[in-house]
Amino acid sequence: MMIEAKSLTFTYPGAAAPAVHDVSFTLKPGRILGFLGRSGAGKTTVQNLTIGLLPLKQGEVLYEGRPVASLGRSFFEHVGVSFEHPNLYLKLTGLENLTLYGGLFSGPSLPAERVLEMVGLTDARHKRAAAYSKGMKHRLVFARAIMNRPDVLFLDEPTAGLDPDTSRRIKAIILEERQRGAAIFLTTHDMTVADELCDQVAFINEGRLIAQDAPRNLKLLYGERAVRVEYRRDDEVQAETLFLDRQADRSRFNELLDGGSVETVHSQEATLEQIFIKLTGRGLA
Amino acid sequence: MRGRSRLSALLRQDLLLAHRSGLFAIVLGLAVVLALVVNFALPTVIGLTAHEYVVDLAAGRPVARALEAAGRGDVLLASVDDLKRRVADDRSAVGLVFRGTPESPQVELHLQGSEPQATVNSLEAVASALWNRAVGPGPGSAHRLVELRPGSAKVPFNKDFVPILLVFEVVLLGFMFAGVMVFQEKAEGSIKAYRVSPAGPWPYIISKAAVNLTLSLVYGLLLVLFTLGPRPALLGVLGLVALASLLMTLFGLFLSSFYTGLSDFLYVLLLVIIVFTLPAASYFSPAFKLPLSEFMPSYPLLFGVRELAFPTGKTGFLAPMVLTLLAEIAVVAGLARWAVERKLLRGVL
Repeated sequence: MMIEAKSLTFTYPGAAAPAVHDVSFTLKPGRILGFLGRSGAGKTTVQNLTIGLLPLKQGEVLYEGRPVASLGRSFFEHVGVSFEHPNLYLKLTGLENLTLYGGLFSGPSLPAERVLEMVGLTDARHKRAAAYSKGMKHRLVFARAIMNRPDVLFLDEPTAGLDPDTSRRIKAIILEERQRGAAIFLTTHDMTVADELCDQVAFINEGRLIAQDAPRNLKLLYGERAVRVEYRRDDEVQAETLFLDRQADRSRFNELLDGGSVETVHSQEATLEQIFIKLTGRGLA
Repeated sequence: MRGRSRLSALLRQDLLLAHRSGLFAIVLGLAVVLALVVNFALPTVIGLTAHEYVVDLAAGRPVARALEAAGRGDVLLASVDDLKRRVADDRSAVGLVFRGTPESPQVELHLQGSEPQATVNSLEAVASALWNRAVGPGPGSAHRLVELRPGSAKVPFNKDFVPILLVFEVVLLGFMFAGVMVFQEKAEGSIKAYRVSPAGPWPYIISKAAVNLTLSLVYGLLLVLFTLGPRPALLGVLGLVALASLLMTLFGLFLSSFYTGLSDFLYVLLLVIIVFTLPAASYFSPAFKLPLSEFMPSYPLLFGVRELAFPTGKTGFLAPMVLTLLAEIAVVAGLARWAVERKLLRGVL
């Protein structure tokens, strides 16, 4: 299912300035679009506008060419949403949370036991959600979002607070969902996650999109072509950063390679974090 | 077909949550405690005053003999001084002193002085009735009793409380539990997950109403069985309980949709409790009616349940009352649907 958002602008009741201003993007099936920004930058507002939870005053959101407001509740048969803050029925077990939520959908859903196994919660399936750790709750919310095999998946900080193993498992599921053909809208402030998963990233700052492209293109556009070379001289390891667009640095690089003392060479492309800082003047954390 | 399955999933979820939140335990406990209060704490008869003392100095002591014959010799005292002392010692007591002859009876009332005129009038009537029963009606006595509904059962005072306990508890619990369910989902954030599911406002509303209906029927059934016993009117009484529960659950869902938490909602809850319990004043004192109280849904419900539980034959108002309640339920259901859609399922939470 293809999503087109055009010139989204939204002001919360009583607020002086818009939370989101003139945001546009396109998300195609089988692609992952990462929305990156600090807390309060407008990521969740864009998500809620795109899902149709907030009323659009300006701009439009189209799903396969149809305005989101015209789709009715059956639209949610095709949508999965994983929230940043766990929102579960705490008095129900993990299994009950999934089984009863799955009962709200008409289409074929993955069996609750299977989804619990995918996110590593099989052993805790009969425990009440209130007894889950933060990471376990997060996984259960993620499991709930994917169980109806959605065409569009909204993931808000899907790996926040997870240990590296579980994080890897969740990222693998997200890539499987993309492979299956789901269009995935991912909001995060974790640049590593965005770099690993996203086909496109959009930087949002104070409600405005400040850059949007494939991560590689952004790195090429905003980064510098440089290499960091470590070499040995007089039994000591020394390092130099050389910019390949400069004639002198290129000559020095060749000289070091010819000298045979080079131990490591690392490309010095800009990270998404560095690009974000360059564009906004501040970091993501 | 799919709608039924969706509703069934929601209903199972809400019943489980109600059970684990202790709502069934609360309702069961309340029914048992109130049944104990009705059966063992409230008196079956309540007198005009707390204590009455009688001294009979009339010729032949006819009143004293009549009271002793009726097994109420405990109220008789030997002297006026004793009566005065006891009335002075007990601020809830009154005294009656009979003197004279059957042809020329005299009665003295010894009062605290704070009794309302209606009580004084009633005591005068009691004194007159006691004398007439003891010596026969005098030449000035010409009253007779005519019962318009001779089939009406004499309702014991304690049992007369049952309609109040049924209607007001169901009204208040229906309203309050609806709020509790909504605020629990807001606090946990689980309503956000429901917002992005294909289930719309109706399954949400129907499921909550069905859970509250179940709780109300359990409460009503237990209270009636424990206090009045099994009786043919049980089904009718439970029918009215069901209507009360539906109306108040829908009203609770409508109003609670506008509030963020139970603490904000507390003022509304108190206001609703006060307004909806106003008809209780008219229940025991029909002459006392606060303005507009009869337009509260709890007013006709109260008298409807009483008529079904203790029939007097005055049933003409029941059918219009049920129709009015159904119309009110339809209107409030529409409001609840609008509020749930607008305030819970969309917009800023």
